[in-house]
Amino acid sequence: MKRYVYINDDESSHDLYCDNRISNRKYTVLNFIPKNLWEQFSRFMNQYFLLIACLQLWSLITPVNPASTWGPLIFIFAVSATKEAWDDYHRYLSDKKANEKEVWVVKNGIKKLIQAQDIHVGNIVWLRENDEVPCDLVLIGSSDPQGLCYIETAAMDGETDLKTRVIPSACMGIDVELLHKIKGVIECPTPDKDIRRFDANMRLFPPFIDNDICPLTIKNTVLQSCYLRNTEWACGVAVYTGNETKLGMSRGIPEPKLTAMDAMIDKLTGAIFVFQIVVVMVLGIAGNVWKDTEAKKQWYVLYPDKGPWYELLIIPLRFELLCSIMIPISIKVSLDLVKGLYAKFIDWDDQMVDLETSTPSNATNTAISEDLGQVEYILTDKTGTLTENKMIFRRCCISGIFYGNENGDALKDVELLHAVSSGSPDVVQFLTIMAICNTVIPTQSKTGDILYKAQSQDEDALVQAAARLHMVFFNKSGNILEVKFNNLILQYEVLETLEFTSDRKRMSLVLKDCQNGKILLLSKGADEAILPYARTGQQTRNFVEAVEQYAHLGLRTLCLAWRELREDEYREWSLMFKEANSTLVDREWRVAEVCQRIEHNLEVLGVTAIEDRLQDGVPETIETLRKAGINFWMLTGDKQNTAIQIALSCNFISPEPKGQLLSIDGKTEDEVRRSLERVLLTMRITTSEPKDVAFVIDGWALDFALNHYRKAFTELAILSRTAICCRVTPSQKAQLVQILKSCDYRTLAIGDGGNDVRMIQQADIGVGISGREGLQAARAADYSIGKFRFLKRLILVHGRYSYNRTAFLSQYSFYKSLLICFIQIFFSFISGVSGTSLFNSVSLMAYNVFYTSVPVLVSVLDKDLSEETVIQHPQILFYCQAGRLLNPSTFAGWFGRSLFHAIVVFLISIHAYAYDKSEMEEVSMVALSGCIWLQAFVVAMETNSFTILQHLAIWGNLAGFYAINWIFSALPASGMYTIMFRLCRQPSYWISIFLMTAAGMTPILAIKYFRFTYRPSKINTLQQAERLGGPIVSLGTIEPQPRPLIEKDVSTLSITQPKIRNPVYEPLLSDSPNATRRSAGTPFDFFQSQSRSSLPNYSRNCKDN
Amino acid sequence: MSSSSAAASGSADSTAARRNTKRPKYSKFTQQELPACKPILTPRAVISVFLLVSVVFVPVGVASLLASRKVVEIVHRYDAECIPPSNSSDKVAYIQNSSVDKTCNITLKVNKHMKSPIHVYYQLDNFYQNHRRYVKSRNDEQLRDSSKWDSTSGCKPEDMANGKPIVPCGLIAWSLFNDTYVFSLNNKNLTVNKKGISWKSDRDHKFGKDVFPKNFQNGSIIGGAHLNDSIPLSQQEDLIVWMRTAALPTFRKLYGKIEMDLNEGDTISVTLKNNYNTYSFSGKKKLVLSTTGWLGGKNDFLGIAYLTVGGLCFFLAMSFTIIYFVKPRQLGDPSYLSWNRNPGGH
Repeated sequence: MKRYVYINDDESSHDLYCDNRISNRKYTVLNFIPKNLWEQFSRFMNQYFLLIACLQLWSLITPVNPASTWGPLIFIFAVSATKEAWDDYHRYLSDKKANEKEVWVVKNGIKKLIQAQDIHVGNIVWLRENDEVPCDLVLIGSSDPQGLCYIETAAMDGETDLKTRVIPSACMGIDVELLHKIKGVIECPTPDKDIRRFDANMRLFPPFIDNDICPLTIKNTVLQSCYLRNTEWACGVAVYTGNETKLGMSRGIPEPKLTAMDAMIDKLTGAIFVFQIVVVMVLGIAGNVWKDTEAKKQWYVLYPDKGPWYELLIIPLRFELLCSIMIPISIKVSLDLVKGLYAKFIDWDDQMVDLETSTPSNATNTAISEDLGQVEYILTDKTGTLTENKMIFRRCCISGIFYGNENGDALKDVELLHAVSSGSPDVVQFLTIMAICNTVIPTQSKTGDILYKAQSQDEDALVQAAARLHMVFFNKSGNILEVKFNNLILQYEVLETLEFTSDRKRMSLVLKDCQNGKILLLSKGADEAILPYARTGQQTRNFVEAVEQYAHLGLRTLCLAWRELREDEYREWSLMFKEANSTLVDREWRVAEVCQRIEHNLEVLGVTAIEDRLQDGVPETIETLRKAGINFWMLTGDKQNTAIQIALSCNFISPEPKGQLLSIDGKTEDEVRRSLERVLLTMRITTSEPKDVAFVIDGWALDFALNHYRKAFTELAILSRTAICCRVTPSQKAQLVQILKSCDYRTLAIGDGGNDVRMIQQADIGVGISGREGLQAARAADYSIGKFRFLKRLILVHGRYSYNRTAFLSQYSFYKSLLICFIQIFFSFISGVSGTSLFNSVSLMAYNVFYTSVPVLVSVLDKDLSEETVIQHPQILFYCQAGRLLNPSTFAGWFGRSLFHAIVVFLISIHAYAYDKSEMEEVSMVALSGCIWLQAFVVAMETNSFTILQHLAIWGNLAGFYAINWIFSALPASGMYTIMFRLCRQPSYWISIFLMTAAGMTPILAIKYFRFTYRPSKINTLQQAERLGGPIVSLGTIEPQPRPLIEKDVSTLSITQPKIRNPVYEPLLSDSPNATRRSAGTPFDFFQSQSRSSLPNYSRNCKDN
Repeated sequence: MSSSSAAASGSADSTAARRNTKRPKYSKFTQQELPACKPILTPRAVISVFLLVSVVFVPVGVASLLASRKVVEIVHRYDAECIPPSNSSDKVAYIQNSSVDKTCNITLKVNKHMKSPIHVYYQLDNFYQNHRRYVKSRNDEQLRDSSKWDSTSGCKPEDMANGKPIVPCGLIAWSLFNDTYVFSLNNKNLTVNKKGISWKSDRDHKFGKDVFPKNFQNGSIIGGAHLNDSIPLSQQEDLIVWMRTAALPTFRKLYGKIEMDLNEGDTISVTLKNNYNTYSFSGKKKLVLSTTGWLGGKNDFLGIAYLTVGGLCFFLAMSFTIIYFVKPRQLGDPSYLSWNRNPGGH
């Protein structure tokens, strides 16, 4: 299938292809209800409740009015549907904004401003600088004489560097005016989602040049959602529009993230479901037996001798309905509600506002706050995340002389200033390269200041520094660069630009000095890309030392070099370069090869060192979070040395001898394997020592490790608390996240740039820093924060509180449902196992919807420990990480509590209201009141801090219970007419209620007190210390402990056995890891020597080239 | 001076920043900083709570127990003795035989002075008024509203007889208790007041003043009592009492009130008609005469339970006090934070 796009033909293709209306909406007005219902019913819980609700319509088996299930069910569906509708409406609004954006389009030969949605295939679209591309275009014109234009593709593939696009050869040199009238046909494939491929042909109709077919590639296109940069204008033919663009085709709805807690709640729900089935079966069989033996004698029941065929099913089904409330229908709504509030608390948090840019934190994903409290691994980007991404030129080394070493700022170094003013030729040449060997574009503002537009922060820093040193790059017009040096204007003509690629790691300019006509080659690049190409005979040892010294200070280094070209050498090379640039196959490789031919014999001038400062509070944040038992991995595209230095300076790894850094490297697969095995061995051994072991790996070795030794690498990942991965690509970052996730660790990825987007989306939690590299990371992330240091608060305060609160809320929801359900079950034993409901429909519905859900909602304000205590004792996060507050064991506690309370309430109500008082409605209300009182006290007892809202909700709810029941008791039509008034006048009612409360709560209080005082958890101890005003212990020097979860023999660890983490069992944070770790059986001195042998790897700084 | 001005300017900065529109609105609620009271379980507080509970509960328990003990109660089981010995082999056949006179005489001895009003109850054992088939088998609309006389939904199988709706329909009404008691003291008739034995709210609002029994007990099987067709349901108090279904299989229903004191040593003879069939499910029938106290009838449960809970709390308070003194434990002792322990034991 092909599509034929007729350029500038207003009629023919209108109906064939869709217009440029973008739609991200899931629903339309018409299909909203059926589609939404269908989606909601694909959840198991909802199917279950629907089945229950339908069964209730069968009056033979329903114990209560069907409304008691239908009401909440409809309410829950309405809430979910409203939320969906709201989200969809916002998607509609943002689509609408994109669709109604105005763009210049040629219609009938005239350039007109129309809305983006009215673009049709075949239209010519004009873009100006910084415009967003509205649809997929094939370029036909550009302001650049060579037909180039620059685009930023970050929104599409996450890469932030600018890409060049070129107009097809057939359109080369067409006059701007004629572009309006261009006619032709483009033959292109049907829309697909491959953003790296576009195989098409174009043929222009006469009078435009010839009738030849011109092949098109992805290089000739600009795709939707890219931005046009550094190009005054460009124009192109729309080939794919609307949802048929490459971006539109690849757009998918991201998988909703499920928190570990949700998974646990689902698991517990499953367990309760099984329990319920067992109860139903037992009671169903008992009921049928009772019916066949006893009930036949109870003449007043008038059982027919022969029932219908389904008779045996009736009683089990009745019990199924009676027990269906075991699974709280309201839990999803309550959880959604409180999760929304957790997210709001993050948005509102005043202490997480970046004061510099006044950006508040933002929780885009409202559903995963609990996971923040359970993070085990943090994978962080370096540049812009740990550092400020604000490059400042600090030092340099020119011809072996170090500048800026004394005061740390070369710009203020008197010697350098002196050398500049005296016009030392090396220094001047050095400054010239700093100023012009780049792709920076200077612009003059109205006030006469010169502003630089740079693609890279490093180049910007160099140009700025050169300007401060009187080498001002002030104009670039076409190919002519103008530099002002000490009031002397120098002009250079750019002949060729040898672009930077991540493989070449250097860029060069070939230019003609207009003063003397000499042809020069200026290069700048990474040390390993420049120094090996130095002029034979030049001593580069100086520069190697300089690079090492700077890297140790955590500075980013670049080497500068130049050479003069002979006229004929240039000519010859220039032809090859042109040819390489026009090849169709493997162009990049060919170009690199040709560049290589001229970039040699360089005169190395010196080294620049640029500082990228750490953000405020990064070391403290990392230290605190590591104490909290979180492991850090640094994934950066930067070079190994710089990464290690930054890691050292931000407490990421400890310096020798406390810490040890193991390096995995190698050029070949085999070397990598050996290195990996060696590190793994060392790692296994040293886990028993209180030592900080980290490994460092670069992208090259990582590639082998991930592709061929995944198992070994996974084991290493489990063993290592810290890792540094340098020179990794965005997809490798995502793969690393994937590895940790596959071991069932909860990962948090934090980054700021487009290259982090994939990692952020892959991780359980993605955090974006709304930083200098733009907002893509923040947009793709679940949470966006202004500064790295807010991560501490995000995890320790918000994550921890969210986890604690949800843990209480979910277990409480089951408690209250089980409580009422157990009473119903007990009642069935005294009602002939016939499935009678003790409670009436109104009470049952109100119990779930009002009485028990309001007080628990204020648990979103509960704080077990104050924020300061948590920050001071980050280790306490372990309770959340290991899931100590919500697991089968704590759940069993709540289960037992509900059983106990059910027994108390049931026994007291049937005994206190026996004989003449045993009236159905009264007994039911006594039991219900008992439940309400007990649950109020349970909430009160589990609340750690009472604000006014808590008091209002708990005690107000109790008052509300009476108010609601008095209202119902005043309605003659209701079944409980006058019941509540009667009860409240009886002393025996109040006496029974107080008895239930006391009998139910005193054992719980006693157990809680005993545990709190004599078997305190760490949380309890800190609570005591905090509330009694005692001295809160300063933690002193505490080694971060090895992970408690690998207490088992390490050799048994495999990928399939993800982790051994006991959420229940103390000791906390591994009291004695030594006891179990030393089981490998290797002699001690053996691994001593092993670890020593790995030391040279650590001290060796750069990869030898 | 200079430092204070610096501080002032700093705060001005921060307030200026706070006013920035992008910043979230500041309030104690949004910052989760609402003033809160954070109680913890100190030994003193917990022991006081337990002591307080025991101090309150023991007297209340004693009072309840006394109240229950003050109630005088005569319980007489008559279902077995009211079967003539000749029929004792097949009690069900006897009770179902409508042609036999089922009069039965029993005597009750008053052991203690009984103050009026004395409540007369009949007590049934092993009778499941709360059975699901039974408890729902009624139609409240029909009972309340004469115009809804034909609405019998939920009354199956006692909804229609001979093709016409039954008023009052359903199993509950159909199985109305029909034993009757006539009391005499010293051969003098003891009047039992049967007015006002049901709830006033039932008489006024649940059972219509213009709803008359229709087509009742006309079916193939006759359940319990017949109703006088000329008396509206709101005055059929036995029916109203019966239709307040009991939650337990053992229950008492008010039969009437004797509005005079009975003295110690009095002998009451009761002539009863033993009509109601409890023999097929071996249920007991008892006649109960009882006075009332402020807690209702005779029921020791609350008093004993109160004393138990009060005693338990006292015991807990004492043991916690002893443990507190024997093994004092400093709250919030940092040494319990295990991460403060030196790892590796050195």
